Amino acid sequence: MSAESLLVVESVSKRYGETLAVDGVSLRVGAGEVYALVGANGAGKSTLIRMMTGLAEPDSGDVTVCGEEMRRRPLAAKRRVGYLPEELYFYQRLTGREYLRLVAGLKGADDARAAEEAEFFELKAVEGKWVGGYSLGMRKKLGLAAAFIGAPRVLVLDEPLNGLDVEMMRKLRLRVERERDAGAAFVVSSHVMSFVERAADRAGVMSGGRIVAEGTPAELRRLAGMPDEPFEDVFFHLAK
Amino acid sequence: MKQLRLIAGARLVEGGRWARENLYALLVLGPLVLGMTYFGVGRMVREAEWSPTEWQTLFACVAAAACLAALSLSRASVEVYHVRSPEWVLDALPVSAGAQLSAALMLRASRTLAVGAVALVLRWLAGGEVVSARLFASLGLLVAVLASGEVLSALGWVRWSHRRGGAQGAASLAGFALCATVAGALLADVSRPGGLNAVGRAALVAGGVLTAALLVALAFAAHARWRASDAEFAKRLGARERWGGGVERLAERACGGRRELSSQLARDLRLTLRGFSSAVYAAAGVAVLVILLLVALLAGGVLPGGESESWTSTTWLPRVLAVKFACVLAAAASAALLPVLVAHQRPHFWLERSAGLKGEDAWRAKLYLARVLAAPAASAAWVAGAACGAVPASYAPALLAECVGLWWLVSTVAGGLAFEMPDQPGLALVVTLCAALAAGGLAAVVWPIGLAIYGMGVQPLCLRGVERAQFYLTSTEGV
Repeated sequence: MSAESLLVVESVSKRYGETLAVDGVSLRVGAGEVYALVGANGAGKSTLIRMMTGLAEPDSGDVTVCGEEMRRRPLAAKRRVGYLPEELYFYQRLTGREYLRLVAGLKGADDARAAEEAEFFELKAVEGKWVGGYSLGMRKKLGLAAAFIGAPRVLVLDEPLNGLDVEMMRKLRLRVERERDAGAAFVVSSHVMSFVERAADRAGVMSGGRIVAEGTPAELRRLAGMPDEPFEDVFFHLAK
Repeated sequence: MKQLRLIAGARLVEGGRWARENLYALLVLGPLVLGMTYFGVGRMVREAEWSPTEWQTLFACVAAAACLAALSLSRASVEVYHVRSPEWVLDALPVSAGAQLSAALMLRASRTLAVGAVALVLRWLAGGEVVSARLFASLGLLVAVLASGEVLSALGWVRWSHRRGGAQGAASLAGFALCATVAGALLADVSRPGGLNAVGRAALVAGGVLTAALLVALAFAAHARWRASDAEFAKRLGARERWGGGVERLAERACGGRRELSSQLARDLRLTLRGFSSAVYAAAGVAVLVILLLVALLAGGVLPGGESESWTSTTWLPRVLAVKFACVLAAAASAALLPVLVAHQRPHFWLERSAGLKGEDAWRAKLYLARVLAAPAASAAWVAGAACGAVPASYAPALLAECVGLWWLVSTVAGGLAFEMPDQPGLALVVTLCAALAAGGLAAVVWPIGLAIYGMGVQPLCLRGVERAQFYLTSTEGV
């Protein structure tokens, strides 16, 4: 792990009624690191991610982004975060270009950055069309472009691969590696284990609202005693 | 400020494009409704011998304002907390809570402008001037008080649902009552010309300004204090278990146990009960309005009583005719929802296609839906007529039979046209309403005509309906 921790999650818990969705989770993600969050449906990944990005307030514990506490200085913390949610809602009657410019404006970034991201995520051909007419893949690319606008130091991507074609998956992986090498920190939640094994420096396996195993993909293999099996089997073994 | 400008700009662009998409409704349906209101309701209001007292007007306006604020709770909470809406992005971006609430208040105020427009129409119908600085000041205050009260009530409602605090709940209720009282007084002032003297009007304006300022200040304070902890709860409110067990049984019974029909009918009923479109509220509102007008006409003694020469000629007494026309209007308004529902469902017809559903089954399910939707409206018209003593007791069963016949005819015509033009729901709505009103209106005046229409016209209408349903089940054009 790098010396500088850009994202620090300390003993956060979140309860919905009788259900304890996240139970005292702590983790640190350093500059130049990709941290993968894996777990079954309902394990608490999305709730944890929502607390990391300031969309939900922890019942206890704290989240700090680049030294800014999310609870006390939410705006300063959010300025450093780029977020792709799993469920995407867009203005149906704005064009892709208009949407990206809106996000750029709210983040205090130049419109030129919006154009660059539209170019990178291959949205140029459709950026003049209303978002309501976009396919699932187009919408995902638009969400990704919005997350990367403003060169945030911490990027939190919830299921970034859903709906993307193979070419764009590869392009995204290379982009993540490039940004990581430039010093950004990533938290990626994904069910695509090949992506996790290839792109992540460390992974945390969540089950029942807690991180039950954590380490590099190689360490997790060793922990599970499965050096040659597919990573899906390693995850299944650890989550169980 | 820049953030608020950006958010408002995005909403303006989106709203403008929505308006462009709905030009037909705005330029054709709007004037049509206004025209019908002017020549129908307006004429009745002007020629009625009975007119409400000032206190009755004030009471009705306060009740209307309270209903509006209560009905807006859900929508206002969505606007404040961005539940399943594009504004979720504002929560993830460095946008201040103040800018988010200001944007929500602006949106609520823009929607509340419609109330101001209705009040202006009422004033116009009552013969008052509609262009004056004083009037626009009152209108502006009405919009400000109602919008800020709705937002504050929504914040309080979510908070109380979350924490169940007694003191907070009572304070929220007090805010709601203040909003309803002052907005109701302003609404009464706007809609009824010459109601207040200069001193009273000055006091009302001062009260309105103070109330609006107080409600806005309270909304900002409550939002700053509660947003962080309540936002997540508001988003999960929609995930609660939904009522709907009775719908299955009703659908089974209506379809005589045919599963391929009852499953569609149950789905359509659930979508309607859960408000798949604002058209649901509009249709229900029109139907309720018609029944209320009927009650007002019958109870207010506006219609001449009259004595019929024989039992059979009772059907042409003005009061009996009013009940029958109300039955037709309310049933047609309820059943006219069908083309909107079909348009809403059209992108999801892959389900019917992949299930191998026949056009006849799809059409028949909509026909049954029309009957189920129109039944309460028709029943209410008869109950109102009977309860207000509109008909001699000896004619009440016969009137019931006439209302049943009208309900059957109107809902059959509306259901038969359900698949007529799902790619143009606005036009389909007008066509369905006109056809159902024409058939029902003729049958209301002379009931044998209803039998003739049913005997000669319904068979070809049904055949055409089945063909249209089959066409739209197999065609993806325009989806």
